[in-house]
Amino acid sequence: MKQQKQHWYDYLWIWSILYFSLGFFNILFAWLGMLDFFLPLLFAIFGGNKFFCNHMCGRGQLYMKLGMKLKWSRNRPTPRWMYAKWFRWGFLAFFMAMFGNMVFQTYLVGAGAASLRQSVQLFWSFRLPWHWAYSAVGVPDWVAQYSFGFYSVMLTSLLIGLVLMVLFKPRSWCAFCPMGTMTQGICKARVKLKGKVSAPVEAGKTE
Amino acid sequence: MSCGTCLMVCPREALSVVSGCYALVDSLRCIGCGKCAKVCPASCISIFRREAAAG
Repeated sequence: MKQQKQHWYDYLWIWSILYFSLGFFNILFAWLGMLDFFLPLLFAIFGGNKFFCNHMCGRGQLYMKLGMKLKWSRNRPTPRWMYAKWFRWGFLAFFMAMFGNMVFQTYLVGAGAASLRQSVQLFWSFRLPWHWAYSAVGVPDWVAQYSFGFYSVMLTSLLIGLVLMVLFKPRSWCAFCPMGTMTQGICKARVKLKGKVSAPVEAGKTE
Repeated sequence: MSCGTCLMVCPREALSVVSGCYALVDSLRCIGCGKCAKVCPASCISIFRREAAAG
């Protein structure tokens, strides 16, 4: 059977592993995760497509490698409510509220109203010590605070995705991934505004 | 959801995501292997058997 042509972005699952490994040793690398936030939005806003989700999401690729190649996934159907509109948009709202809270904490540290917390907060509740990954040299405290906060968000979503990968289909996280909901919302709005659909996104071309 | 998981598994590159809104199957390329339906986290894709043309 014909094999799909391989592209450089088919290996971005390695980047995903690298990202979490780097953050274990130096929390400032967490800032690189901003790429995963901005790139999907840029593709959606300017390209009107989900090229990032479709081809460049290292996390999605990692779930597929673990779930399909290593057969860690039970491959059971994802529960219906997980991809229901109310849950997807509700989770996005919750996620953005938590993100806003994290940005506010960063502001407080920057303004000197709160002190830097060298810990990672899992599932928005449990604090894990992570002080070894930060040595106070050359960067303002708010930069470090944002790194800890952002890494917490990334690690939490990775863990939720991994649990769902094992229990259901490998990319069950994608059913309600906040970035996916946001970018699809933008794409749909674009189609409504422009009144036409753009060319299909296939491997190797964006439009 | 247009996550594109189906694109990753299709051996014939028969799928595409249109305008970030929905997945489109090219029926000329599709061989009906069902890999896309198996991995779709939102169970968007169904496989239907086609009756063989008479004669």
